[in-house]
Amino acid sequence: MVEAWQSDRRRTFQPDDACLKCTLCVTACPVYRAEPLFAGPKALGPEWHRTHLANPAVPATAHVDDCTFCQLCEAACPAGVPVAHLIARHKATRRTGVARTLRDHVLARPHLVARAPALAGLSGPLVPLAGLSRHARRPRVQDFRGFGPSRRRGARGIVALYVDCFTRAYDGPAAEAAVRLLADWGFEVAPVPRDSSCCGAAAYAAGQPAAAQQIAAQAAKRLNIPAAATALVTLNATCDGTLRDDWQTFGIPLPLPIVPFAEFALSEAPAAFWEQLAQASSLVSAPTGSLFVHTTCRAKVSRGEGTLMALVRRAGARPAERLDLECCGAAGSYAFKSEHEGVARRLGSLAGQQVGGRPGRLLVDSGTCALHLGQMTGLQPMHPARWLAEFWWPAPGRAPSVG
Amino acid sequence: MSPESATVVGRGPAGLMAATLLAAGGVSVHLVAAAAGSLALWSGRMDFRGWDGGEPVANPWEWWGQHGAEHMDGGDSLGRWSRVWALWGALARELGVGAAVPAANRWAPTPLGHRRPVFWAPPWELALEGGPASLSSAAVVGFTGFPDFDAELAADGFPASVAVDTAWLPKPPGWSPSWTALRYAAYFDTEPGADWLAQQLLGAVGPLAPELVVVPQVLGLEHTGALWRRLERLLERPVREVGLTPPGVGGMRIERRWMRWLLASGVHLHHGRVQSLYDAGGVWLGDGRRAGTGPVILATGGFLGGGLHLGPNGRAEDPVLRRTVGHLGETDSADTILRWGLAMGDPPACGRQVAGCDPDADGDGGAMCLWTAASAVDRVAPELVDRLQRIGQEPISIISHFGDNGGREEALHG
Repeated sequence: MVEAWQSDRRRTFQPDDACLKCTLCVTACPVYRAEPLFAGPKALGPEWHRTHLANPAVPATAHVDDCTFCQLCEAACPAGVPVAHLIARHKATRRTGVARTLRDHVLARPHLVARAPALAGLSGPLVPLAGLSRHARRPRVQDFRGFGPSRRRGARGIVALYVDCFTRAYDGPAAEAAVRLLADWGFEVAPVPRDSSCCGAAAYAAGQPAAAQQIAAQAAKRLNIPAAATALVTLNATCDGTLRDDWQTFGIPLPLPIVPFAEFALSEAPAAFWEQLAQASSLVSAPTGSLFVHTTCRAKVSRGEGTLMALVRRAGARPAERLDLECCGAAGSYAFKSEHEGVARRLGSLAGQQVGGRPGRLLVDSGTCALHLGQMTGLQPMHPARWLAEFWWPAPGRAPSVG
Repeated sequence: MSPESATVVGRGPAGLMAATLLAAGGVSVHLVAAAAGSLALWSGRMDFRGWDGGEPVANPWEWWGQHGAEHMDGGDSLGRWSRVWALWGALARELGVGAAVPAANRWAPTPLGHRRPVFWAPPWELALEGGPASLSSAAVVGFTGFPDFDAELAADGFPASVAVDTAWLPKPPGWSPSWTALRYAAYFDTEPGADWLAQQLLGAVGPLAPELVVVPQVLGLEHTGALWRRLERLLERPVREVGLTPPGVGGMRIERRWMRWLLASGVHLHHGRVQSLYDAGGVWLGDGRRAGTGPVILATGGFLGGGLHLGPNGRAEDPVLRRTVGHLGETDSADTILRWGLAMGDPPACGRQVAGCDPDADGDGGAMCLWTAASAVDRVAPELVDRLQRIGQEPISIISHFGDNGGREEALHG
């Protein structure tokens, strides 16, 4: 069984002021290169923090909100400074108008939008009034239909599947595929939480750390993970990192390993599954076009990179090409905000240049990244669970089992 | 003789080199790192041996031929250096930062107006062959409002026999005081930025007609080669960069291309801090994950990279092996502790700090990274490095580029 659960952020001292000014955070920051007015993580994080401690009345730096909260600055820092989290605190000192405050309040609570998912289709003159981008692609409603035929006792125990609010409302088929695959691998699957709730990731990214903690605390109460569950499998890389790392600092650690779906698949799917899958993938007519993978920034920070490439190899599929991106610019609700349209497009266009109009598919395990990258590259984005399931059940009615 | 998989801890130049050698040899590599490597902090030059007792070394090949047996694992030092540099030369070409491995040290002025020996450097970086007489005139170009490169100061790095003009370009559109070398590079990666630079440089340097144009290291991050060639065509003379203080655009260019190569080669990158070695192979990370499999190579650097922890009482500890390395200020100086020499330990370590040398004083840090990485790989995968030397026998792209001249290729004209 996967052994991972404790947070790497559990430290014996607070490194908020440990900045050595080495600038590795600046070299890791994709926004610094994309937006000339963005002062960069060193200035906006630890340097701002020192100034703010000395004088809390100092106004927020212009363009601090351009930070996508990708956290690559933190991953680069050799001194363990929580650079991005300091920038989130910095963002919280901004003053905004009523319309923006209302918009940001709503976007920081995606679970509320997800409970009325058609809201995402807002159009017409309300769009600019609400401070929303006219151009960013919005999600289509594809809600999670529940357990399907796979709600059965598993020989290998129970795993909880974290069906985040975005997946629940807009990529239900990914959650359904994951439930069926986990069941076929011999697990009893408990999708949690029962209804749409947010882990707090959106609020934190939007510079509302206090709201993030409050939203997370509410979500923790509704989580209802069965006591016998041996792992919490996640479908969205952003929620995955938030549950594992930020919930620790919120004081609500989860007492079981939190594992991204693709990583769990590589670790726990039985050998027979991969053997049959390799046969199936060679038998079914593969869709034309190239296969790309994108490891989201949050997954790079929380876990690393290489799992999706390994999954493709293990499945016996044609070699995939990795998108050479740090942060795609979607960043939760970031790309939906009118003032971030430019940066989001500049970051995403790097993927567009790489793909160069080639048709194909893109494996990515974060909903808004999938939307944004689909728009910027023309590729068909797909969650790894859906991709595996497509090989595993290539036609309706065929349901091999190895569990 | 090679393991199926191996784990390298640390992603500075030594860690990346160890991972590269293993991956090129068909070993499945897990690269574990808690932070960015140090490449982004420097220009990416690879020193061989720059100084001996404060005097510049003219030919490091000869120097190592005379002194190699006294150092590290000794033996056929020169033969081994040839192989190590041949591997680096092949890799640099593979990464698109290729410049031949030189036969002797060159020299370059520093941003502060000193002169320093330069061994390997990417083709766009300034490295002058021969004595001062080999150059008659140069134009050193600065940017108004960019304090990291003072053209007047840098010009002092040329000997009096070279006629040096200085020129200043204006602030680019959108400039603010927060612009670092990286910001300039990002701007010059764009089409309007490249056009602006070409136009300004032509206006400032064209009338001076120098033999060589010297600019700070800001010629883009991703499109450097294209921009550099365009400027040379436009000005009809060589254009070369001088490396600057961090953020190190030159090192970033190499690191970004290197990481891409490794990830495309199937190397799995794990982000996390190593707590201990796992008995059955791989390591335990601070978050409870087991990362990697197989034998482990440590390339964690000194205090900054996480290879050493310094306790409040001055105790320096290797955090992976839980071993006290020394007591700072009590029995050991920082200088001793920073070269604690685990190269032949178990697990083997690599990096500029492990060879018992003094790279800051001797100017051989790059070479130490390469040598110790090859030594560490030898320990976990015997004969793999030697096997990589054989030409064209493996279907791995890096191999196809290996030459048989032992690394002593003709240098690009500086």
